[in-house]
Amino acid sequence: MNDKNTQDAQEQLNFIKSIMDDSQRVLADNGMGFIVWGILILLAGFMSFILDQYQLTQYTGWTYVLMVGLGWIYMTTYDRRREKHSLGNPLIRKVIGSIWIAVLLSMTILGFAGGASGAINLDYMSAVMYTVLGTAYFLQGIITGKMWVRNLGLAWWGGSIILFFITGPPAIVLMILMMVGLQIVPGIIFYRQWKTYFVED
Amino acid sequence: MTDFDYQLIDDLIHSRIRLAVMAALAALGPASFSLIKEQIGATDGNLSVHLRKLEDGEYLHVDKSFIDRKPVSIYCLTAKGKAALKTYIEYLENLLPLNNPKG
Repeated sequence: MNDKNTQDAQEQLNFIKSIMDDSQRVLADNGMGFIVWGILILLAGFMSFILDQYQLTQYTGWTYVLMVGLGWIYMTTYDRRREKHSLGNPLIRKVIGSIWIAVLLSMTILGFAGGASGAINLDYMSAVMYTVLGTAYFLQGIITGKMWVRNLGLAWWGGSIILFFITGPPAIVLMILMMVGLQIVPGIIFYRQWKTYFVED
Repeated sequence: MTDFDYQLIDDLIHSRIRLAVMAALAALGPASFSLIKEQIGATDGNLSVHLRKLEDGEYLHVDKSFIDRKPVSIYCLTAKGKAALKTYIEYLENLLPLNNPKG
């Protein structure tokens, strides 16, 4: 009788542990941050291209100031309210949220201070940015146990290596493809997944 | 304590699905119906019944809100529910030989 009780208790505890282990890595974010930042950076790139065509490159930096500024306004207003609708273990949400804030801050400093001081060659600014961006995806993928997100990080890093060796139109095409394929599309996937958690019950 | 005393078992948690719901919510924090369903692999009807029982026992709190203009129920463990799960786990652990030399 005691052996049976012990076995039952162990099975129940294993069951509880397996459910908790699976659940504590869940993160359901609506992905709008990914989409908004992706679109803003694409717009900045497009505006830079237009300015370049009209030989107004002295204003290129301001397009990024505008778009990154809009991005931060979005982050500190709408995105904070939206965060209430994220689901998942509170600690995981805090860790992932902190990683993204740290990465975005790092990119903002590298972009503006690094670019304005001349410490970072503007031709290779995207390569530097994408290297940092890859870190956030990689960490999010590892922490939440989603290998496809981890692989996005690897793809960002792979793309950034190429961007360190090319400039001009090929680099612009690759930057656009990466921003769409590795940022906006994953954001849409996150959004679609998030919506499934809020179907009417 | 060495024998399995059914009077000490919390019937509300002891059901497999309700135990899974409680464990999932303990790890997830607040969660929607669909997320709980995905985590424990229950059917809609079955899960609804068990959630209602846990709610009636005040182990769960349901927060009705609107997201994208759609009504959504968000479930979370109450303090009573957390305490009940803790007590249940401690009871199970006490049945293990490591924690119960007499057993």
